[in-house]
Amino acid sequence: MKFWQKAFVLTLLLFVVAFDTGIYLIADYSYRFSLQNYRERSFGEHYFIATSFSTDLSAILKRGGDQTIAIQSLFSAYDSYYNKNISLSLLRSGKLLFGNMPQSVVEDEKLHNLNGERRSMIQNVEGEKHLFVSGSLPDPLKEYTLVYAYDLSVVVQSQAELTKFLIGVSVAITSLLALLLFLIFKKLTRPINELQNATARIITGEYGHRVQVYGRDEIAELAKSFNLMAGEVESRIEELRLSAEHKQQFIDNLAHELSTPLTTIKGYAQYLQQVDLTEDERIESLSYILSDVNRIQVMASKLLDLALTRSGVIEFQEVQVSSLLARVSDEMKMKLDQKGLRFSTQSPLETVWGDGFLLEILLCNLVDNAIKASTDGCTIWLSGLDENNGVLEIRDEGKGMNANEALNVTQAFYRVDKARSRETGGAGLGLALCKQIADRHKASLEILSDIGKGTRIRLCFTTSSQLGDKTITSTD
Amino acid sequence: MSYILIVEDDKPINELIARNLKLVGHTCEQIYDGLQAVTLANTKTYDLILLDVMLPGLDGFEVIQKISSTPVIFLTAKGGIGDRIHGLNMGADDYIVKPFDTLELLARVAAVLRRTMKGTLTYTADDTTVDLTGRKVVVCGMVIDMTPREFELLEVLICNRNIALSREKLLQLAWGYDFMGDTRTVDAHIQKLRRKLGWENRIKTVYKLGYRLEG
Repeated sequence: MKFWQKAFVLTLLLFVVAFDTGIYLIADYSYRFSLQNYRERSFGEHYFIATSFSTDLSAILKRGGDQTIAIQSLFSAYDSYYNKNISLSLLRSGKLLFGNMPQSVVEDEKLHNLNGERRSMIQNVEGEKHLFVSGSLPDPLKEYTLVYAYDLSVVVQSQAELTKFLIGVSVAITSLLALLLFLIFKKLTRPINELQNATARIITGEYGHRVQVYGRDEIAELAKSFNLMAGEVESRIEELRLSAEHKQQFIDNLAHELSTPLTTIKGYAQYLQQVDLTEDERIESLSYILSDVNRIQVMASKLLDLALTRSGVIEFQEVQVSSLLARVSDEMKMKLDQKGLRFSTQSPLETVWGDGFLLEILLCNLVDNAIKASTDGCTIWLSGLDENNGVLEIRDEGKGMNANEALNVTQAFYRVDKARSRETGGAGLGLALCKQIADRHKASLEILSDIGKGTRIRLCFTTSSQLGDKTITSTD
Repeated sequence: MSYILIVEDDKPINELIARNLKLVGHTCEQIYDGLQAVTLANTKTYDLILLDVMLPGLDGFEVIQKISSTPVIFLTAKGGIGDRIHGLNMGADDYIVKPFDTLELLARVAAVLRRTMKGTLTYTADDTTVDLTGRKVVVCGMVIDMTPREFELLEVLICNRNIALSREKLLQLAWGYDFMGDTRTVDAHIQKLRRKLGWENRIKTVYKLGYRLEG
């Protein structure tokens, strides 16, 4: 049974019990009250009739003669006078003399007592309720008892009508109340239903669903908290989805990056094995195979670097920027000269806080990318700037890339060149590695690039070289 | 036998495909980007286009929409079921995933050509003419009787000529995967073929490997 149904049934039941009990008590009270009225009136009337009757009766008794007929005619006169609703009976020494009422009723002991006090009782006679009042006549006619019977059928009838009316009213009010309660509970519990529906929808995967909040009561508070919770769940799910997507992307890309050199290696190996070749063809095929084996080897070592920088422990220390730049310069000298590029280093910044070896890998990768992007005669600047906690900046005059590419370029295997040709180089792991090294240093990697004008990449340190922790261990 | 356009931006792979196709008698044209592929495909008539998906200029899926009526086989490193279905829905006749096997590439090329080319396929060497469509062999004007298995073997050798095939590979290609025979069965059938066709010098034994039809 639903909550609103329970509340509805219980409230209605409570109301019906309370209301009907109230009505019953009122009706009963009014019935008793009117009976009491009638009784008092009847006592009064009985007294009046008894007094008057006794006067007349003593007159008759004094006169003497055939008293029975005289008494009967006197009684008949009284009886017919009070004909309407009232009937009289006259008893002597407890025995009925005259009257229309059944002897068994008027001679009932309940109506008579010894000291002659008036008594009353209510008794059914021929299906009609009557109020009987009996009392002896005043002295000296004490042996006579006058029984006065009042027909209560009018009272009973009006009581019955009242009861009928009250039942009607009770039914009408109860139905009206039931209807109102139904509407009210429906409305009050609607937010609960909505919450329930929302939960059901979220369970089926509609994480974006929210509940409408009405008013400021507890349910509204609950709905608000629920929405907050749903928002949190949604963002977590989205995070998980994104991370899963990235991983899938990484695997897809890895598979793709492996399959191209493998195609060459497998194909040329089969070619060498199965076909009768000239010496030149043989050498050419072997060089294709070796070059692609090399490619896979480079990729493997980059992946290994990625894995190591992700999980390895980094030894933080003060690194002299000038010697760091000199080491990078030495390492890249041959590639720079081959392509005929100018290289300029300068460093107002003296030290940074980090792992010198990793920073060297990072800078070499960035310089390597700059070389690939640049053409003959261009210059590449590498500088340490004394801003904030230190900035290492590399700038080239190469072909640049658009904003979207600059945003994605640090993802593993992302290549600006969609066809992923081998001329411009690597597997697309270099910048991913740079990003990871930067992350381990809690430094940010800002990439600013304009197509045709060149690229500027800034590694901004957030940890000051004085305040840095001794070591930062793996976060994964 | 056929004129085939190879569109693949990786030079070693492009070269490899071209060399293998030339070995079995096809003529090839090699290009390295998508835009050129569309231009060539719409000006010349090719029997088949081998199309890489990741290309500079236009990618393979864009290229296939811009060319009509020429059969296309996609060559790609994307081997997911979704990618395959997408490629085939785009109208490709087949879909080969890198890294591929040379023999598989040749077999798929041959299958697509068989489906799409009209007329008969024949192979002639010395005094022997093999009608691959009508499954008939004529030596010096005489029709030679051959068992179905012998003809299967001959067809495999012709379709992969100039390429050495191991005995296991021959069993697999001519007899089928579930054949439980000995590799000596292959030797016996090769001897019969050499005798019937007079190809003692054409069907070469390759040391430690198998056999190669030269021609």
